[in-house]
Amino acid sequence: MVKLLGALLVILAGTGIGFKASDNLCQQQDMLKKLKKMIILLRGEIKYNNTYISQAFENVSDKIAAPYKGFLLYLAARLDENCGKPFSQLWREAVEVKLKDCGLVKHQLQKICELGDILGFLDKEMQLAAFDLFTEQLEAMLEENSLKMKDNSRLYKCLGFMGGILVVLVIT
Amino acid sequence: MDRADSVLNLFSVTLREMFVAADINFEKLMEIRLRSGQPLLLMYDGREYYLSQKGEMMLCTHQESVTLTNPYLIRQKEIQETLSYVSKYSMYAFEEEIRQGYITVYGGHRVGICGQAVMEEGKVKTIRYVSFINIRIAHQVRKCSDHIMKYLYREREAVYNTLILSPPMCGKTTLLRDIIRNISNGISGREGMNVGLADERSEIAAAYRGIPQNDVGIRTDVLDAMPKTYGIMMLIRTMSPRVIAVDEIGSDADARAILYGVHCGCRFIGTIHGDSVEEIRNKEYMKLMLEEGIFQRFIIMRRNDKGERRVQIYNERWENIKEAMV
Repeated sequence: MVKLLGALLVILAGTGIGFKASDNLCQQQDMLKKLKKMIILLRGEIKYNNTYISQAFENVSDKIAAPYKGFLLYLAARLDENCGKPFSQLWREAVEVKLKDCGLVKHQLQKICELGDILGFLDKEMQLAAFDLFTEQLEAMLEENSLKMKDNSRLYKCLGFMGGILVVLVIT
Repeated sequence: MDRADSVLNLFSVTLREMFVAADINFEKLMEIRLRSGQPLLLMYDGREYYLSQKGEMMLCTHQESVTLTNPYLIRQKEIQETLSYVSKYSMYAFEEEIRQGYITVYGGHRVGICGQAVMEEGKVKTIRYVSFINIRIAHQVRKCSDHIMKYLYREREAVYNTLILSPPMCGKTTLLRDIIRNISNGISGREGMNVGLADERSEIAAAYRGIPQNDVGIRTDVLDAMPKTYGIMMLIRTMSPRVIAVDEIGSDADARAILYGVHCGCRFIGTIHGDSVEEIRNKEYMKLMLEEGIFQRFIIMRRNDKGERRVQIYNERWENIKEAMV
């Protein structure tokens, strides 16, 4: 009876890991979609309101959900401090503090960091071009992730379940 | 944020530390000049000072005007960092201001910039390699116009069209701001009036996110950062002001807009740069207004060697009707 219960638990754990891996892909997709929304809103704020960047972050933070809301508010506060660091460094720090555990993978976070290198200076045309370029990159990431989801989501779930069974067979 | 913070936050971290070490009284600070590779110069209490490498404020004497003793020299990196803070990391948002060569920041301080102009189709597109920054500290001096106000009222409910003229740094804008406040709030039994303020350079009201940071009175509507020519028309059409105030009349278009406003029944209070009455009379764009007798009061401001400001008020026949310190 105890053996049966243990085996069941191992299979459940394996299945859970599979579901979690599959869920991570969905979460990534969700995060990328939210990020795209944030970029579109920021673009509009700069294009039509011509607000300076910390104000644009504050305004957009009202319209988006966590974790980007926290990211923008944190960054706006740091910028308003005039703490002596360049914009790109403050942006990277905000990514590190507020987005590190949001479900995006390393290369996706790296892309977000790179956006910070070209924001805040130059003319409006360049700012908008930077947002456009990043939106294109985001769309490519969404596409890639979508394909990955289609291919891997069921696979992860099955692998988790099968893995659990394998472990049960091995230990019995 | 107080005046000291609003000024200090504009500078690079190193310069902030220098100012703190120098223990500057920001109420007396009038101007700060940064020039790449040159000493940091301050206009303080009517005199010119420089900062030493130890962060001490040293008076620029005539003998030292060529070689200063151990001055702190500004580095280009500090100018760039300062520019980042002045623009709040958002140079793109100040394209128009940069084209005109100045940015007005929180607190109403005006930051003038110089560098290499980038031209496009005969117009200034931007200024790059900014290597010179001049920060003029805004001062709000409440009640400075109180004892001259009675000379600016024609009758119980009207003010004279008034022109304030002086060389730079004599306090035209400060006086104008206080006159606006007094007209708006009402003073000595005079009723307050609706005042429209076309604050093209954001120096008078120092609006931050649209809200005036300086006291310009309870009946004042501020049209911020809009060219005077459009601002005057828009104020007349939308806010029906009894009095319109503008700073630094400086072009034919400005003069025409004022004429239009006067013909619409508004009263005007304005300022203009000039060393003397003759200089003002010789300006082409002023001739028409003076010929038509638009202005009935002229306030001429001067600063003496001690830094004190003196005003002389003239009527439309150029008779001196009042002299006072403000």
